[in-house]
Amino acid sequence: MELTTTQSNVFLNEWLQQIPTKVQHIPDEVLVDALKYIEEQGIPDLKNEAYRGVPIESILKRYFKKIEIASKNEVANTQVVFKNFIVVGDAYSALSIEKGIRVFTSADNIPQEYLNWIGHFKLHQKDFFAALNTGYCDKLIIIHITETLDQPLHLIHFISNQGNFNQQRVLVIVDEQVKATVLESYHFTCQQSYFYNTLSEIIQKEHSQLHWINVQNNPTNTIYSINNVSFSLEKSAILKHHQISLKGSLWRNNIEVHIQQPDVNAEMKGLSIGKNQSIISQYTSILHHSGHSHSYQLYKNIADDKSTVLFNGFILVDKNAQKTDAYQNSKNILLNDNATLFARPQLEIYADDVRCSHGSTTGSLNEDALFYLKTRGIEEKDAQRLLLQAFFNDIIEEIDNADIREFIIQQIEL
Amino acid sequence: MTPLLSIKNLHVTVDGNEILKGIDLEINKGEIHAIMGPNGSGKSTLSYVLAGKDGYEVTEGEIIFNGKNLLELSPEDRAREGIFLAFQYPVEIPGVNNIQFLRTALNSIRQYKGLEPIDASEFLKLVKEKQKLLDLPANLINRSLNDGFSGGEKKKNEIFQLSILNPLLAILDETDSGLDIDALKVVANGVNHYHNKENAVLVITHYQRLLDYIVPDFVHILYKGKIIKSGDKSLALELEKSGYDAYKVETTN
Ligand SMILES: Nc1ncnc2c1ncn2[C@@H]1O[C@H](COP(=O)(O)OP(=O)(O)OP(=O)(O)O)[C@@H](O)[C@H]1O
Ligand SMILES: [Mg+2]
Repeated sequence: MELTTTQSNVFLNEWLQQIPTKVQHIPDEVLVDALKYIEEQGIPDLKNEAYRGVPIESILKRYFKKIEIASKNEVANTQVVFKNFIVVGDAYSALSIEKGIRVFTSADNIPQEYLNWIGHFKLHQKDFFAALNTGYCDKLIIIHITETLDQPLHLIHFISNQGNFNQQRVLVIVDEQVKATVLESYHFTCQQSYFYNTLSEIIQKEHSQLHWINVQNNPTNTIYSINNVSFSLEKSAILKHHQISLKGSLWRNNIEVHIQQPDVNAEMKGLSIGKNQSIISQYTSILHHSGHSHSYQLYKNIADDKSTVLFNGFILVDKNAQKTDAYQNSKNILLNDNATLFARPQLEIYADDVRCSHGSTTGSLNEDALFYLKTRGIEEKDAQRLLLQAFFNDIIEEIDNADIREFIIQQIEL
Repeated sequence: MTPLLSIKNLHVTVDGNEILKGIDLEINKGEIHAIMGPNGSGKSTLSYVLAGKDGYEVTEGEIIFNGKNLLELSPEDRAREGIFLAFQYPVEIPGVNNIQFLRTALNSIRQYKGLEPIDASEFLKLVKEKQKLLDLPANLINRSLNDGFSGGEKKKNEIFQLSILNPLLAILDETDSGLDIDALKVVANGVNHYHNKENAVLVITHYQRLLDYIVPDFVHILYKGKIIKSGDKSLALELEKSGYDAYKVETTN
């Protein structure tokens, strides 16, 4: 016992020494807490419940023992869908924005009003990688949406074919009454294993409406991504969140929604399709700190080949969050006996006047339906595709913007 | 003339139970055959074996369809070779659009035959024509496949698919059950419209009534996994009067 702890600390300390510390904008007390958390908790090991099914320690030791950080790269061949875009990752200077959006990068003189939000939701005291991002990240971008956008903002994570390690941090503030849609996608051209540790803090002011769509797809299967996200919703804010996770070696999302004030509506939908040896782990937390709000979660998960697809959905209803209405459902399809699928709801309810429901179903494709389609001359693969599309159609359909829907559909391979 | 379908000494086991115990049946192009038989005698089993459903193990015998060993083909290839099964219980498939599904089916059959995919407007014309023939409302055929369809609507939809896919052999498993009198006539009309000298129909039914509209050339009685008697359409009329008891005695003797 003693020995293993020491050994893994030795690894961690040597590992951390390879990361140049360039943190400038993180508030002092946040930084202290983050570093303390890193030291105390260490890299999540196999016994860590939150990382069940995600052998992150062995992944780091095996592929990222030696960290290489590339210098800033030129952006090339990025799939730009919208006129409004900001490129982050290892070339975050490229951007094109219309009025209504203000952007600050680490190189800028960032006003204090923004810095106050950094670490506000204490992700760095809940997750090792959030702490790592807080302690050692050198790329910070602040996006302040001050007016309703008439077209979506595209946030592109760009990584070129150099280095193997990058940490990106994003802070987004959506002003009162403002409506915006953000598409977040990943453009990785690297051929080697790459560790990408991101953290986003999103603040929604009163009566704002945000539709955030994160599309994770890395056809070269080189990315190991850990993505910590927290949304904070003030009075009457509306959040719609779509999490689409497709190809890649690892997609781990910790998505936290803080309902701070009443009359909030948070709707979370997800589609995960595990292929090859991918690991997709969705870890959501809806935290009802205030009552009279509504949260809805629907996640559809498909595991094929030797992939692992995990969903953990946590709902917390605080003591004074009366009249909360929280719903959670996950529907899972296992396509291959060699694949792993695991879905778990977790509820902690301290208020008495609430409506909470959750459910989870796991199965395979309906054999009778498959047979029926085949008796009409449809190939097994096509029949399977028709049934899978029928299975997740309601997740994609919900996205109003046709270009974004098309962007997603194009990338789904069944 | 070689028969379109030739079944010889077919034995089929399901979950270790022998259900079909030596079936012989030949169907030529241009013919209509009817199979009648009590509940549980193996009629649907025969239709599933022809369509290629998993779990039906052929322990003896052979099936030759249009010169090919049917038992070696996958369900989709059987369909492409020209087998069509109208199910006794059509499956509901929410989320799969009826028309898109039919187009996918038609095109994959065409591709197998080396034909180009059907032109969109030509397909639409075909759909309209058959929809009228089967008296199906447009909103129904544009819904999800059989999803929430009434029993009768499902059966009509099967014959709608039959008329669009235009196979060589149509197997109708109790397509008449659950149909009202008008719907029965519409469905029979659809089948007769489809039927010609180049194809064949195998009707499975409990009721002579259907055979007034779809007139068979041959009627077979299936009993406990065997065809115990074959005859012309008058056999169905006899059966209606006497029930199966008279024939059971015949077999035991
Ligand atoms: N999986 C199974 N295991 C064991 N027996 C089965 C199985 N499936 C079907 N059978 C049996 O096979 C026999 C034939 O069934 P089948 O459905 O072919 O009858 P049928 O003639 O179509 O009857 P009906 O007129 O009621 O439609 C029945 O006794 C049925 O119980
Ligand atoms: Mg039957």
